Amino acid sequence: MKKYPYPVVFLVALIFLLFPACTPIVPPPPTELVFRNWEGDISPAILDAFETEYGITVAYLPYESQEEVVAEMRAGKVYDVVVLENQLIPDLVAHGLLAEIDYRNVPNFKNISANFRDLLHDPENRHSIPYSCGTTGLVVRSDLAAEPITRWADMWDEQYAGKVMAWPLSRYLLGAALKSAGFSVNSESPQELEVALQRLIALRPHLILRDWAPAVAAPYLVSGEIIVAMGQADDVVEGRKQQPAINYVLPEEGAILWSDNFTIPAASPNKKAAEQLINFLLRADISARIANETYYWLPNDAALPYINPELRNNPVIFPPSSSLQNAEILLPLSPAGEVLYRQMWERFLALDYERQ
Amino acid sequence: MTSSSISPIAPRQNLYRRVMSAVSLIMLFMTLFVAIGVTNFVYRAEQAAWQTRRIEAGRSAALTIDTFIHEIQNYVMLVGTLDRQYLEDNPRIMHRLLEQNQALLELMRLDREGNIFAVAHRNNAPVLAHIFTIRLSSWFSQARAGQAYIGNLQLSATDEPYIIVAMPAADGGVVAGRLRMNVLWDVVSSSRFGQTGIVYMVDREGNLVAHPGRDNVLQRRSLALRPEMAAALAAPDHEWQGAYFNFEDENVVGFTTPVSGGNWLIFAEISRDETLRLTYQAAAVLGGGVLALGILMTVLTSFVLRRLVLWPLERLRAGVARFGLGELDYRLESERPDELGQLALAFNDMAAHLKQRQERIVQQERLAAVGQLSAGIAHDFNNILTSMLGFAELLRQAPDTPEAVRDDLARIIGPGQRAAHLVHQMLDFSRQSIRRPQPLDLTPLLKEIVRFLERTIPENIRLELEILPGEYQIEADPTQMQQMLTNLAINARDAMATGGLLRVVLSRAVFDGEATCLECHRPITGKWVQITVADTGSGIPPDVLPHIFEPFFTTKAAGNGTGLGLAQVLGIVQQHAGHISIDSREGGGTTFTVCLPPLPGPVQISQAKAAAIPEQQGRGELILLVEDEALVLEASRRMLQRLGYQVLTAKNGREASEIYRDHRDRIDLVLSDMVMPDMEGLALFTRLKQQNPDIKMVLMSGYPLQEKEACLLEEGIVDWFQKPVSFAILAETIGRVLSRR
Repeated sequence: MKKYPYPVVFLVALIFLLFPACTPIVPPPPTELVFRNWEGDISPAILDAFETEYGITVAYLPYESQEEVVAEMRAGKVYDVVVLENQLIPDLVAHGLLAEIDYRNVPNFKNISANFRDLLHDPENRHSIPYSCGTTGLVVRSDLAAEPITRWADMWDEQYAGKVMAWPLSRYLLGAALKSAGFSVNSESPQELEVALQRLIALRPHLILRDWAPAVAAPYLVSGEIIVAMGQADDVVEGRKQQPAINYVLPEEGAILWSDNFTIPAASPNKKAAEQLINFLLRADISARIANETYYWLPNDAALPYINPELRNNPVIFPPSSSLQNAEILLPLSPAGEVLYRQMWERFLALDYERQ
Repeated sequence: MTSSSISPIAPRQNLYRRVMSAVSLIMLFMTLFVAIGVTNFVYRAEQAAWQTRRIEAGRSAALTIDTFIHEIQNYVMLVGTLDRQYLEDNPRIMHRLLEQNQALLELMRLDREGNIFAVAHRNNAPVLAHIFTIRLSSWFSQARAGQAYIGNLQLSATDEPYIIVAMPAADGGVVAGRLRMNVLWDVVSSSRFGQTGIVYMVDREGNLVAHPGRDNVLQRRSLALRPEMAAALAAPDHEWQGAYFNFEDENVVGFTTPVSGGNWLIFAEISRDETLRLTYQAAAVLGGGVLALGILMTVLTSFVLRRLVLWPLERLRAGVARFGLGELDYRLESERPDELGQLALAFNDMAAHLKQRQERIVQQERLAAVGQLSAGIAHDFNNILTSMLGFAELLRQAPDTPEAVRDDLARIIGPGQRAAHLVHQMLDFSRQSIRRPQPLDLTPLLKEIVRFLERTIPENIRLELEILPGEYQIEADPTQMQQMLTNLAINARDAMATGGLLRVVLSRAVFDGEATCLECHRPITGKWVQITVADTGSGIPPDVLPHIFEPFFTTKAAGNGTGLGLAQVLGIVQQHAGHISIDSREGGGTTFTVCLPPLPGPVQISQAKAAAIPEQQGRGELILLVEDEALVLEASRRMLQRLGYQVLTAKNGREASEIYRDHRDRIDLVLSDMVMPDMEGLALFTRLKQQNPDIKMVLMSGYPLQEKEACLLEEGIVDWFQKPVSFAILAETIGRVLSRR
C-alpha cells in the first residue's frame, strides 16, 4: 500500500461515479411504428391523431396481398403491426412469428364483440385481435343484367363475358370457383380444386383482374364497363353515389366471409407502442371512424353507436344473419392444402404468361 | 498488617459486581432464551393457525365455486336434453329456464351447424349473436366435440364480466349459457379472513378471474409475471402454498387450490405482516416483560445477595480488618446459624488465639529481654563480686586480721554471696547459667532436699514427701534441682500463711496430651518423671496466673521476695527439656507439676560431695592466670597464692601467649577468663594448644558456655567454673585438675 491509498481510491471512485452523471442524457429516439395494412383502410388523419396523443409516429405501408407480407415476415422483415386475416394466423403462431399480446396494454379489447373472441384460429386471442370483417360477394349493375344475378356461377354466364371483374387473390378467386361448383371455400380436395381451377381457366379469357384497393370495382361498374364484380360493401357504397343501379349480391352458394386482425410480429422492437396503437384503434370512436370511412362491418360492440345510422342500417354493410346461412369464412389451410392451393394458383397465373 | 488489606477494592475485583455481573448475564441469557423460545413457539403456532385459515378459506371458496359451476353445468345440461321441436313450439320455455337461474345471462340451444334455434336473454342486449363466428368459436367446437366448456373471464364493452359455459346437447348440438360473473365475485369477496386475508381466482395464465377488488379484474391484472408463482401456475391441478409478492407488490403468504377441474386457481392469501402480528406482539411483550422480569429478578437477587451474603461479609471483613489492626478483643457477630456465622466464630477463635499468642510473645519477649539484661549485668557483677568477695575472703583468712574485723568481713561476705546468688538466679531464669548436668537419681536427692526444707519452713506447715515406686533417673544439675524445689516450696509456704499441707510427690507419668505445658503451651505427651508440689494455700487468682513466671513479678510485699523464684524454676525446667503445668483454684490450693525426661535405664550415679575448704593444698605448682579485670586478676592471684600455688599473670591473651612461650615447661596450668577484649579465652586456648598439645587449661566465665565452646572443651580444657570464684570452688577445681596429671 502507498502512503495515501484511501483518498486516491476515493477520488477514483468519485470520478467513476460522477462520470455517468456528467454525460448528457440522450432522449430515446422517437418511436416509429411500421404498420402493414390494406391500402386506404386507415386514414392518415387517424394515425396523426394517434401520434398527437402518444407521440408515436406510424409509417403506414400498404400491401397488395397478405400473402406478400407474410412472405416478407418469414424472410425477416421487421414490422410492428400487421393486419392479417384469420386463416394466416395459426401458421405464423406455430412458427413463433407473432408476439403474444399483453392485454394490460389493450384494455379496449373489451369492446370486441363476444362473437369474435376465442375463435379457433387463435384460441383466447393470444396473438390477434379482430379489427374488421365483412362479406365478399358480387357487386352488379342490376340495370345492365338481363336476369337477376344471384349466384357465384353467374360469373360464368356467357352474356357477361368480358364484363366480369375480380381481384387476383388466390383464396378468394379459388374460393368463388369452389363455391360456384358447390364446394366449400376451404376445400382441400385435389379433385374439387381441380374442378375449380378448370372453371377459372375457362373463365380467364372473359375475366378482368384488378388488384385490390378500396372500391376498386366501383368506377368500372359506374361506367358500365363491368356488370359483375367480385366486391365488397365499399364498392357498393362508393358506386351507388354515382349509379344507384349498383347492387350487392350475397350469392346463394354462400358469401365468402373474411375477418382482419391486428397482430404484432414477434420481431417487433416496439411491442408496447404497437399495443398502444392497437388499443387506440380499438377505441369506440376511432373504430367507428374507420368503419364510417371504409364501410366495414365492425366486430367492435362499443363502436356501433358511433357509426353513421345510414351505414348502421345498411344491410350491405351489416347483413342480417339469415342472409349468411351458406356463407363461409376463410379458414386456415393445412400445410398440404397450402401447397395444393399454391400449385393451383401458379397454374392459373401461368395462363397469362402463356398468352404473352 | 499492611494497609493494602483494608484499602478499597478495585471495581473489577469487587466480589459483588462480579457476582452481579455473572447473575445479570445468566438472567439475560435465560430471559433471552425464554423470550426467543416463546416467540418462536408463538411464531410457529401463529403460522400454523394462519395456514389453516388460508387452507380453509381457499378450500371453502373452491368448494363453493366448484359446487356453483357444477350446478350451472347440470342446469345447462338439463336444458340440453330438451327436445328441439318442443322448444321451437314453446319459445317461452327458454325464457322461463333463464329466469329460474339467476346466474345465467343468456341461454341458447344450437344445432350441429351452429345455428341457434332457441335463445333467451335478460333485459340487456344479447352478447352472443347468431352469426357465422359461432362455428369458429372455441366454446361451440369444444361442446360440439362432446366436451364441457368453461371459458375464461370475459369483459363486455359495458364492463360486464361474464363466462361462457357450453355443453353438448342431447341431440348432438350444443347448449350454451353466458354466466354472470358477479356470483363468483361474491363468493371470493365474502371469503375474507383475518383483516387482510382475501380469496381470489386466476386462470391458468395467472390472469385474475375473480377478486374482491373488482377493478383488479377489470384491469386484467395478472400474477403471470411473478417468478415465485411459476410453481403454482405450472401445476394448476395441485394445491400449493408459499410466500410471494402479489400483483400489488405486497409480501404475502398464500395457498392455492384448483377449481373447476384445474381451469382456475383459487388463491387464499394474507399479508405476511398480519400473520406475524401475534409474533411481533409476543416478541414485544416478551422482550419487554421478560426484560422487566429479568431486571426485577436481578434486583431481587442483588438484594438477597447483599442481605444474605455481602453485607454480612462486609461486616465480617470490617471486623477482621479490626483484628488486623490489632483489636483482638473485638468480637464478630456470630449469631447466624449459617456458614458466615461459623466463619465469624472461627475468626473469633482465631482472634482469641492470636490474642493469647500475642500475650505470650510479649511475655516471652519480656522474659528474653530480662534474660538478656541479666546475662549482661551478670558478667560485670560477677567480676565485681569476684574481686569483692575474693579480697574479703583473703582478708578474713589473713592470720593477722583482728577478730572484730573478721566479723565485719563476714558481714561483707554474707550479702556478697546473696548478691552472687541473685545473679545466679537471673542466669538460671534466662537459661544462661553454667550447668553441670549429670545422671541423677531423684529419690535420694529429693529426700535430702525435703529434709533441708523441713528445717526452713514454719511448723504450721506439714511437709509430706511421697515417692511412688519406680525408676527416677534423669540427667540433671543437682544444684538446679535443689534450687527448683526450694523455690516451689517457698512459694507454697508463702501461700499458706496460716498453715497447711505441702505435699511433694515423685512419680512416673505417661501423658497423652491431657495436660498442657504452661511455658511452651503444647500438650504434654510421652513418659515423664513427674514431681508434684501441691499446697493447700490461697491459690493463684486467674488474673495473676499468666504472670507468675515473669521475673520480678511478685504479689508479695516489697522486700519479701525478688520475684525471681518461679522465673528461675521455669528456666531450670526448660534447661532440662522438661515441662511445667499448674493447677490452681482460688482458695483451693495450687499444684505445680514438673515433668522431666527420664533416662532410658539405670545408670551409675555419682554422689555429689560437699567440698571442704583446704587451707593449703598447692605445692608450688606454677599457674598462668589470665584476666583482663585488674581487680579480679589480683584477687584471683592472691587466692591462688594463698592456696599454695605460684602464679604468673597476664592481662590479656597476647601477653598470656608470650608468657606461656617463655615459661612453657614450668607452667602446670592455665587459668583464664573467658571473655576478654583482645582475645577470647577459647582463642587463647587454641593458640596455646599449638605450643603444647597437652596443655591444661581451666576457664572461668561470667557467662555460660555456648554449645560450640562446650565442644572445644573436650579437646583439652579440663574444666571451667562460673564467676564469682569462691575460694572453695577455686581450690576444689584447681586441685582436681592438677591431681589428674
